[in-house]
Amino acid sequence: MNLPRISYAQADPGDATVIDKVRRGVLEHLIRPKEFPRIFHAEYGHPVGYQFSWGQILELPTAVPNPATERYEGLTWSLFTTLPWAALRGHLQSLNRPLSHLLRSLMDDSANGIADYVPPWILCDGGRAFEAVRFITLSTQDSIRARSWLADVFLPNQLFSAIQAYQAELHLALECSFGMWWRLSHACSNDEQ
Amino acid sequence: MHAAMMNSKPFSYERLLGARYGRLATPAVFIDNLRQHGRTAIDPLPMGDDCWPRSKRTLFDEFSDAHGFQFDWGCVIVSYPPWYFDGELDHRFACRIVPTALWERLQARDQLTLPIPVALSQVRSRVLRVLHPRDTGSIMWDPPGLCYDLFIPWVDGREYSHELFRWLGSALLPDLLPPTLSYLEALVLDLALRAEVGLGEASERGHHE
Repeated sequence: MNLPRISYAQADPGDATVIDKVRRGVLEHLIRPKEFPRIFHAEYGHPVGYQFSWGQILELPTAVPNPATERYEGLTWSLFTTLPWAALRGHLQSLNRPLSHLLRSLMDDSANGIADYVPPWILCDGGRAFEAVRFITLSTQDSIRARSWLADVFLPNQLFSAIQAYQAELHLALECSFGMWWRLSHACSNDEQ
Repeated sequence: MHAAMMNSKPFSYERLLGARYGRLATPAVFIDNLRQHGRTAIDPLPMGDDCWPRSKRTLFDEFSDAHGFQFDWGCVIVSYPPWYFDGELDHRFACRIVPTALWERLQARDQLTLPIPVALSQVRSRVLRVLHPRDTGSIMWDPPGLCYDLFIPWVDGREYSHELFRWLGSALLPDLLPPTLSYLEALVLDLALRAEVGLGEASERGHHE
């Protein structure tokens, strides 16, 4: 399969302003990305976070407490990288396959390449269908450190490499899940021609 | 037989991050926790859904002939218990990751309301989801079939044991495990705090009614 690849050239200069909002924790209400089915988006209530050209980062309080203080003081950042989804839209339409099926077939693998960029003290959860990755901290101190890392290291320097790694997982899932079906359907259409 | 053979001559790794290889006792916190729930170390364990049922399944069995390395957070047990493969030959060289200190803390604060195998099985898959994306090189790992283990990293034969120990000593134990164990503790603590709130709300409702 010859699939489109995301490149650094697709980075929007306007994203620098949003990175500054991440640094300062200036949240905005987020609108559901059109690729994201309404039923799943509802799980997030009224999400707040940051809107980038490549997707969204949701920012939420971590749902479990810091064991050292027994207070719920951590933060969780969920990355919805819609740019690779959009790049696959035409291909999925030609296969008559919805994006949600592809994302579910990623299983727990969506963050496999992204985790290489994430320091070990940030928990890196890849097990949710629509999120490329979820960065989790438990303590106030780690939340502050993680926000700095996001704004000063990850988003300006590593994001597109991470998105490319996510895209590679998507392509692998596409090949594994739909590859056989795709090859068979193309073989049939070639026979008909 | 395989595990017993491994334990009889323990490879070339006498130390792991300063911990000396030796016989490991059954952790006292596991015995105390069972006692709280009216069981002993030789009673069948209350198993979670993610533990493989085996005929021998008591705390005593899980720690029979346990050898490995003791750390302040818990222990690394080298290989499976001798009975585990039920006479079948298994070529894997494995290390069992068994946390204990977090259970001691939770128990000391009365925040461990469930038997440990049950509490662990309720949160284990979420904990393993934050380990899954990390690069382990040639090291593979399984969710455990054993009730007190967090997970079991392994290599495809004893001849690769140096790769497993290198990964344990350079990546898992110093970097990846501490935040992972904090997350495990946070998840179990969250269960306890939510149960407290639930109980509080229930008693408040009862009071108003």
